[in-house]
Amino acid sequence: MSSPAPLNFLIISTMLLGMINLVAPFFTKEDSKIRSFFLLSISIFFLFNVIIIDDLFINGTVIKFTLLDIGKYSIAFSIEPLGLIFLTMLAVLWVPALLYTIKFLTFNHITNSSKYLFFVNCCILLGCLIALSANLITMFIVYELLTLCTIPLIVHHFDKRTLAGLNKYIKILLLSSITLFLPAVIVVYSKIGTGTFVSGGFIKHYFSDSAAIFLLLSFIFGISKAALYPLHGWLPAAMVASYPVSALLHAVVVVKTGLFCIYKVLFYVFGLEYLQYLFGGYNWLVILPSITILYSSLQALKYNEIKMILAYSTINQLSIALISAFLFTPKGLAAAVIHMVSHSFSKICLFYSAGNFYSLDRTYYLTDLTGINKNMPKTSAIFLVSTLSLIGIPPFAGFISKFYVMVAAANQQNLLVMLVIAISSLFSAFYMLKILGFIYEPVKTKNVNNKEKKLPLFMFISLVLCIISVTCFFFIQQTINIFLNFM
Amino acid sequence: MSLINHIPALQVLIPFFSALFCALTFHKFTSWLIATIAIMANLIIAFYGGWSLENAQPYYFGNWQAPIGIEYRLDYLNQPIIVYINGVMLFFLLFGKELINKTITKYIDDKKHHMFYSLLLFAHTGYLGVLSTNDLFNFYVFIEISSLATYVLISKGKNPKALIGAFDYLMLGTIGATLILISIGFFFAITGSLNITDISNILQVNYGTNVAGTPKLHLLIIAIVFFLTGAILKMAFFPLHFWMMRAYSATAPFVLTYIAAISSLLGIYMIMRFLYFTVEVNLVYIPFSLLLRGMAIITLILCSYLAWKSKNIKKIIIYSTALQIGYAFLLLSIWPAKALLFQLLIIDSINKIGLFTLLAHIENKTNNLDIYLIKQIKDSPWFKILAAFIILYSASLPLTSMFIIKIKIFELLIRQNLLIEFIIVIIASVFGILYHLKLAKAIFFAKEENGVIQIETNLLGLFAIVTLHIFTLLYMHEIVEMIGYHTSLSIG
Repeated sequence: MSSPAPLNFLIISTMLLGMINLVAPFFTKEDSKIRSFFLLSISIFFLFNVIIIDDLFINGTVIKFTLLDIGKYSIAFSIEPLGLIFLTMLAVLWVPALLYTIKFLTFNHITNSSKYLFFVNCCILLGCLIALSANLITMFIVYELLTLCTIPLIVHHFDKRTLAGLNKYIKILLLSSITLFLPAVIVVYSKIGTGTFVSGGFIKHYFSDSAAIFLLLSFIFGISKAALYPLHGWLPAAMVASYPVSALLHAVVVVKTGLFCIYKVLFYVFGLEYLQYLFGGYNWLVILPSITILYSSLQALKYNEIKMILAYSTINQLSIALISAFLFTPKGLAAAVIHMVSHSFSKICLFYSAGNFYSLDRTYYLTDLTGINKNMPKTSAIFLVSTLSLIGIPPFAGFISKFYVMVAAANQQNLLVMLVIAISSLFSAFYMLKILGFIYEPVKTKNVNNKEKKLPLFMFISLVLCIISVTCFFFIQQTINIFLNFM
Repeated sequence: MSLINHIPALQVLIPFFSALFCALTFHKFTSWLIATIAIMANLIIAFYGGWSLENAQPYYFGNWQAPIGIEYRLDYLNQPIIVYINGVMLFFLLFGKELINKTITKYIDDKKHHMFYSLLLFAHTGYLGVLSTNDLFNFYVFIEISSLATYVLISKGKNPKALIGAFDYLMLGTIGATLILISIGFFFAITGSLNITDISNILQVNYGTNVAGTPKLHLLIIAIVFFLTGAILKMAFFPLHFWMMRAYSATAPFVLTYIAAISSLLGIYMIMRFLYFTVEVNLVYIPFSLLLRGMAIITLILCSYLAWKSKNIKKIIIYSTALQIGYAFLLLSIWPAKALLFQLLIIDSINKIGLFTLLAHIENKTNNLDIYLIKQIKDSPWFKILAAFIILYSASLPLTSMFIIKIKIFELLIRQNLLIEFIIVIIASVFGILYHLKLAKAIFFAKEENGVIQIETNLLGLFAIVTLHIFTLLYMHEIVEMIGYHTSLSIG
């Protein structure tokens, strides 16, 4: 299965190229054109490289290589369809993320921006490594490193509140992975002797049914980045960070890593057939995300802090992706993957436009948003579109992915799932429209000054890029389907 | 007969004589220089000895053969440790010169600075002797030499309570040593010999085949119990750990980089040498391993909990030292875990050196180490980066050597079907993460109201430790292979 050296080299060189972005901030001046140019061009090159890798994969190239060998625990990387979808998504989102973050930092006078950018890039690169990981231990190690790399971002501007949030964030993420995820990984390794992902799963005959279910549960709860109900608390807690970080944590890398790891475990460790057999009688696993969906919907209604609403809506949407994956059908998994991508785009739009509001008006609570559309019509429009997408109104991204999830559930005749998704849409309509209501509330103020012009152009371009993806998600979804056909 | 053949004796005698020279210099820098040169020479000799080692290499003092004369024996079990502790000592002297001056000798009478180095070398001699000797009585003598020197070393420091702690240590250490001496007396009574190999042979002949019904078995068990109690007391293993808390928490943290790092390693070595080389293992293995395992479990839970609960960063680190002894005992009680045990001990000892050095840097600037009242460390970016690395390494998060060892421990426990231990180790690791979190919070996110300190001491030591960690991560497997623990310990 070993591939010729140049192809391994392609992955390594792609990652090395990305790593230039890690050091670049330290050699360039804050807010200099050179810095923006440098960072952006590298991320665009990175995107091109990833597209080349995608193309090679579609044409049937197999890439697999081992970086470090410690007995049977090896750090190895390979490319497979799920990972490539995730990798491409990250590479695509890196460009708008950088565009936005660089300008957000200068506009809001955030000090020590080199360090900040270093860790932002670091997180995205670690996400890429997770996408490429070829076995459980590699996935676990990078997963943990990702947790550690987000810490400096959250406490970048630190006070008592950030510290409390950080405390909760670290405790939940680290402890769940140490108590559940790591033991599960080690059990797999010690019983089977390998943890390399195999399409269709590899643990079928090694465990008794109940042990396998127990193992699955410890994976699902151990990967707490996916924010299932009792272990979701880190997500609202991490909201103390600034907007680009929140976007990074909640839309792009961290939560999506959680989802992606669970997909990988379901598909490459357990295998869908085996899971269908395990949950043959009654699929009670979907109850877990259902509870999360209902809980987070109610919580979101309760808050009037913009970020908290967005956080709970993230938890909600993550569970929709999970519920679809827990149907254990290829269609369900495909729908889950598509939902993961669509939600990324919608959420990043929401966060960035909320970040725009914040940059100009220091908006924390809903009431701060009152009538903001007078001053910032374009950002408000983008916020509107992404809200509609999140609720699931055609023709935007959210609709397409929810449609897929519904179809998958209908195929299984799983009424509970369909019902829960309908309820979740209803609730998200409630709380998201609440925000919209404040934004578009007619106010008669005389001093309508178009403040929006003050916003740097880059921040705006980044938003436009994202919103284009949200509106033209149909084409993106077709590309994803090409990859999904390989599974 | 060339000098090279005398390596086993030389590597103990060099520090011994340089200790005497140090005592005679009456000069701070000269004594430091003598100590450093002696240890450097010793390290080279130990390296050479380890490199040219072929299986077990006996050395007879004055050519008096084994049962009568004193025998030193170097094998794959002790020679690597000898190299390691020489390395630790060299690290202590070379990189810690500034910290020694600022945190330890500052509180000693100006005219007696040289005595500090002299005592350090005496302690070192004791440790090396314990490691090299193959004679039980000689073993005891060296334990006493090292202990006597250590009592004095521990009594120095900023906090006057250090003296009380040292007194505690003196009392309990003496009791422990007495118990060991009684045990040695019993062995002499049973076998008529003091040489470890000889005793082992005699015991095997007498007890090897039929265990039950031998009249002297009770005596043997009493001897073993005395020895274990003494050793456990000396190394401050769980139920008898209280002296360590008192002694360590008042003394200067930098001296602990040497003492704490080595003493637990040495304690485990003592017990191993005793259980697996002196006594025929199979005779007593099962009951004692159960006992050890029970104690290890209690230690793991209790010490990790106490470390998490304590409100003083020094206490947290000391409890974590005690916690690692729990891990060591757990592995000691599992037969095929010997290679892993030594990896654990070495890596943990490096971790502890790192943590105590970190602490020494901080304590040099501030008296209050309470996690809520500690002063904020400002404008020391390098210190913070290195501290972050050291805490990460100690917390056994991924991509650290400790993480690999933890994984191996987990796997071993699963393979041995030790589910309770598996769960206990998980719980202990959870507390481990929690107390490291506390440590990190105190060091990185202290409140500004408490005041601000700046670390100005040179950070070469910390840098060396971090480098060493990266090195061990990459080459641990090769090192273990090279030392040959796998082969030698499966026989031993």
